[in-house]
Amino acid sequence: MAFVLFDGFAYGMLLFMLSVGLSVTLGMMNFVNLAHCAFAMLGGYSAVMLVNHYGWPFLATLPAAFLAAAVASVVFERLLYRRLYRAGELDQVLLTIGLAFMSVGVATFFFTSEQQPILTPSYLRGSFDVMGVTLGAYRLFLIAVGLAVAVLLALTIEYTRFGAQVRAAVDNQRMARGLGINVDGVFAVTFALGSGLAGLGGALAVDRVGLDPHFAFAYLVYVLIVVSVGGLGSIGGSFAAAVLLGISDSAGKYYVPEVGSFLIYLVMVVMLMWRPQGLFGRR
Amino acid sequence: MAATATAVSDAGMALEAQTRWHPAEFVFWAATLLPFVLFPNHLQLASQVAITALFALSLDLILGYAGIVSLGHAAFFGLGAYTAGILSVHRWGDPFVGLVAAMAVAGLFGYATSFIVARFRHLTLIMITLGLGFLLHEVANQASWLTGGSDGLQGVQIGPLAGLFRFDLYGYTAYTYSLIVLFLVFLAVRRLIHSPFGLSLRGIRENPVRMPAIGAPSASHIRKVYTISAVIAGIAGAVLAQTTSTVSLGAINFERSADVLIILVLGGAGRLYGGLIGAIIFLVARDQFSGLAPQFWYFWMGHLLVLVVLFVPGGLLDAPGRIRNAWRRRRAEGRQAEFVRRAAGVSLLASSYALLVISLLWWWSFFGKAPLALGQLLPCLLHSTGPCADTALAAYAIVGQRPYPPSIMWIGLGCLAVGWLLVAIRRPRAKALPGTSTGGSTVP
Repeated sequence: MAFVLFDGFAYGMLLFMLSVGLSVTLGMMNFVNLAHCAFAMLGGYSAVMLVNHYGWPFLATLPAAFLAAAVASVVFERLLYRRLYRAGELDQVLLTIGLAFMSVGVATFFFTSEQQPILTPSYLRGSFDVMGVTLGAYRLFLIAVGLAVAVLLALTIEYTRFGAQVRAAVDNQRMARGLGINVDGVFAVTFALGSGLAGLGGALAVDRVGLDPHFAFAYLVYVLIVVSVGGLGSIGGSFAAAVLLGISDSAGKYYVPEVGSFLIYLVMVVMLMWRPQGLFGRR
Repeated sequence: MAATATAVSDAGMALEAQTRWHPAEFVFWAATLLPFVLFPNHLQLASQVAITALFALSLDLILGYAGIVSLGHAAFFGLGAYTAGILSVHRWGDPFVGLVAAMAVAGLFGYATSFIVARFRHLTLIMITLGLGFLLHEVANQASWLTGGSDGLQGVQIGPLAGLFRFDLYGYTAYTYSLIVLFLVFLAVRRLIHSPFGLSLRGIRENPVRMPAIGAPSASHIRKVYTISAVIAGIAGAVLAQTTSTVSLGAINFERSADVLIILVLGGAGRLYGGLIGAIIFLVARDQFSGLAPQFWYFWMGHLLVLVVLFVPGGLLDAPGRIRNAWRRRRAEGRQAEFVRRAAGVSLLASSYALLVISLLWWWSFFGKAPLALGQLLPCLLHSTGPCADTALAAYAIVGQRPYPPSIMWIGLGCLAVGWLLVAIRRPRAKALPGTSTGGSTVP
């Protein structure tokens, strides 16, 4: 029981990092970015490359993965995404699905379709016994990073000038523009931050869930569930939804493996029908 | 009073003119018989094309006409396929029985989910259809006692068509069967979208809030069309199961939903023939590149999708009309020369892009395995002397692969330069007054 809770919480932290960026950008620009997990995959492959080929220490690759995803996302945002902000959601879905498909092809070309192993340092490989429960060091590390990211994000959004602009743009984009906030600029920075976090999540995910070219689609559903359950543009909502999803997914796989992911999808559909704005969303 | 009557009859005549059969339509349907004569060895492929076209037609009804974006339409296709397949495993192999049962099952599920679909729009709707699609895929995956799970359904035995025609290896019966089903459904859909119901669907696509005000209840219309579309998707699935005698998870997975979306958008959504044309192009291309690993195939599909969304928003069938409109606009402004110049420039840019991509691929497939550093290989893109020539000769002698000709790259670069010049030059003109059209900046 305690193990499932612990494991699920660590998984939830991973899902939180993967999805919080999409939640905020969706809330701000209503841009349906189905290629979000492709940026996470980019982060994952950057980390794998740096550790296995260039011998970087694992911890140093995490900021690098963040940067790689953030830079790539800015390039795509400026070149492609911004052309479709005012287009219908069908065009946005098609463009980003197209990009996600391309990312799968590119990843296969450079890294083959095999699972990528990553060498984690020895201090992240052991486990501790606390009151009869075995706590894996890597899962503890995941939780620590996830909590740190969540706290940092919450502080940034709540107490900085940039955070205030983000909140204003999410609440009412036109009003924010009217007040002289450079919404496009704020959005570009937010988009980069969100994709960077996805890249960080992707790098951290390699050791927990593996990495192959289908990562871009395999985790898209989980990310979308977190976003839709948590509510668009809500960081606290994403956090709660990610933890909930992580724990229920672990519990489901542990106790009723024959049902598989069925329950998760069912919960997603029912939740969307019950509260289309998400559990914690305000709109 | 008389004026109103004339206006009404004018509108009626305009609508009637839309429903009349265009000569090109006769040509198209006559051409569907050509595979019997010209490609008798590819009738299985032709049958696949007809089935996919049918599936795309069903998506077109809800996406193109009613404006419902669905990312999980394969659910109905898969339901139809599994219904027909499972019935045949339990010795109900008659094609018509399977077809009717598939229609019933897909229709029932479509009707049940249509109540959900009619309530939502935009992002929520996309996620709900995606979720329902994954849900059914997971059911088919887990209920392996019924569906065979990831191994696919075992023991599908389809009886002869109408008790007379067996499904043969060459696909004569298969193509005849799928073509007849496609044509009949097409006639029905054609009738449907030209009916007042079909017109109000288009109204709902444009504005679902206003349509009830003029007497077209959006929700109930969406429920109806969604159910009809589900039935057609079920038919397509059943025909696939029957003509290929196999049912696997591939009938119901996300890739199938995405494929049909790509096909429809490529051909042109909201047009009767969009899905049909798209299916022909997509499946013939996939057959030609069948040696390609699926990931690379999807890379090019994704690339195509990005290009279509950015440059041909209405799909291929919409492009001629857009070009014609641009030409008329320019002619009205007396700027034909500019139109021709820009059209030439855009086509040069497009062909330069294609040439550059081809040259890069050819170069990589030829020199990629050569024992040279990247720094030595890069110049081989532009000239074929020195180490490039040696490698080329060696590879040609050993493998017999055609060497990469750098001229392709040069032609591509030339097209790029000329095309860019043609597009970028602007006619010097007086400063535009506010509110006047600044035509000439839109791509024809």
